[in-house]
Amino acid sequence: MSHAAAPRQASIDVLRAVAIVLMVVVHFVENLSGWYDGGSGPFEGVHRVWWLPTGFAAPIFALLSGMSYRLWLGVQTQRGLSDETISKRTVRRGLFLIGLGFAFNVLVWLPEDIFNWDILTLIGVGLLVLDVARRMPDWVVGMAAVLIIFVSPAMRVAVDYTAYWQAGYFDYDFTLTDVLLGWLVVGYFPIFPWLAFPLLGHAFAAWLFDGNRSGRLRHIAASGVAGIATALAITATWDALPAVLTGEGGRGWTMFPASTAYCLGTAGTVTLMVAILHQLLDGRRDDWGWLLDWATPLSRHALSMYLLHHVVHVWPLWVWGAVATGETTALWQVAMPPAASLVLAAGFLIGAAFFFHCVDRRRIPSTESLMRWLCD
Amino acid sequence: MIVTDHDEPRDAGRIPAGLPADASLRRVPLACNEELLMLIVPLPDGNDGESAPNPVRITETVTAWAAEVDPRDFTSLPVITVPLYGCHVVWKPGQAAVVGPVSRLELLTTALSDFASCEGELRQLEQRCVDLVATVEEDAPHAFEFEGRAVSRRGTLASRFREAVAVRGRLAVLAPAAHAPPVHPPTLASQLGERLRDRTRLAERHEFAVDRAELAERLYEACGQRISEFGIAQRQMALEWAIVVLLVIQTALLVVDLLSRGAAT
Repeated sequence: MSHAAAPRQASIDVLRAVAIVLMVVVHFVENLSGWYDGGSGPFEGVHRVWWLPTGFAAPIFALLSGMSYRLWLGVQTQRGLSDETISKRTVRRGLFLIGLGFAFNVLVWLPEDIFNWDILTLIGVGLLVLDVARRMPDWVVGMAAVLIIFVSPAMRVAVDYTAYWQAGYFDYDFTLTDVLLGWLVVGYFPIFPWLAFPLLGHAFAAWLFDGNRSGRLRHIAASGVAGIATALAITATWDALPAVLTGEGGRGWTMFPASTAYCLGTAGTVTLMVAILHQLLDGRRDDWGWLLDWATPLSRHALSMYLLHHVVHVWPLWVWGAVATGETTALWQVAMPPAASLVLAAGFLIGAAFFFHCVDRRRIPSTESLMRWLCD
Repeated sequence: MIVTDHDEPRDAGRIPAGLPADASLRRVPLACNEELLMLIVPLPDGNDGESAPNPVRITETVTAWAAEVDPRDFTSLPVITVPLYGCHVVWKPGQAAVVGPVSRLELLTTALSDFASCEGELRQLEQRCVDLVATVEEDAPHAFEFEGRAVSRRGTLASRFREAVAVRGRLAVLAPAAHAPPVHPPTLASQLGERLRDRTRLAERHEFAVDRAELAERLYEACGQRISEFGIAQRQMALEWAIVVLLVIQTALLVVDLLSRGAAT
């Protein structure tokens, strides 16, 4: 999510704004209409091709968290902060996000889902790991990310991933084993393989924002294309690959579990997009004023947006379900037609854009400012 | 190149008025990639009475010619005049005049161009030493400790080290000429060389330049060692981190395997 005080890169702002828009749309539609009318609506099988871009939201967030951390790190170093102070701030930010993630799970997804390991806990853990990774050479960080992606299918096979997923959501017992396995391999955003995204973002940011411009852009673009090509090759040869490479729970391109093809494909695409946007936007804020006027508040308040959009559509869903049927989660994924949830998502986005403009203009405290106040 | 037009206005590139008709200007290329503008004024070997040119007046004229400030010359170095057995040699960087009997001119011009080459190269090396020493204070911390944030200066430090070694090498080559001992028996050419070296403090200047080059060389050599140590340490650290990453991944695999066995039972 957003790390204030880092120099604002227009490319990152725009990409993060795209991610939050995608995330709002996918959450509204899937939580309100995922199985509406027996799943026969326009989003039947949300794996339809045009629904595919929504799968990029989480990888964009995770990868940009690594990039933003690198930029934030540069600012802290320029300010002359000691290594120890930087570590303390990083750890505090990581713990803040992990704590916020647990609070979010309890308050939004109800207490039984406290250990579903959502993206906030992933990014929080990612920050803790990045505090160590920042001391490593970039190629070692990249190697670690690639290793994480390639060992994850074997881990899923070892733990019998599909046994933890019932009817499309993570179903675990309140045992230490399940909680730990959820964090490591089988949760929504387990560190294997999702930790690879912040690590890759951190390593790519070194190429993108340091050193020779043309050289670094070529490197980034080549890495992105290589990721996409490998993803396509894996998908094409899926049936011929051994289970230890493909893992359990899905074929080819799946987000839950995050398949190797999905990880490489999304990481490659996001990297390529960052390279292209960096070339187009960074250092040319005046040429793209209208776009950045819209994207920057959304990007700056991505964390608040993430929390707010859940509260806005999930809490009423619980209340409505409890009132109408007596069962809190009765209307989950069946509350309304997909078209209606899409309209609600669009309405929320428009309202949020204006709201966060006001937040910036009137300097109203937000989750991001709370994090800075507590952690820096 | 010989310029013989006496009617042109007086300047450094023209023969001044009042000199014998056979006076000439030569542009002599020097070994230090500079050019020496040499005014040669031959005098008759014998005394021709009334018609003979006045050597004193000629010497004053060529000295005044050499003293004229070249607009390109911002150093305004003083003109050195060396009288020698009825000859007169006037010199300043880039410009010289030789007045003397025709039979001695060739010896004098050769000795003069040899000296000018040596002095020109020393002057260039002195300037390079000045440039190097000017960066010493800025770069001195890197000779003690090289940090990651200084990696971008690696190329600059390496080029300065190469420059220091190159200057030191050129000064070593120049040493025999700058410190040439007196020749015995002395000749006209050797005496001219000795006097010019003495008047221009060539030996002392060479020693000072060597001192400066040595200072820069020592500094950048130490920087090179620190950079090399830093590079080796970085490579070792990268290898160690790679091993740590592999061990962590292996441990994670082991933990997952153990947890999955626990869950199965």
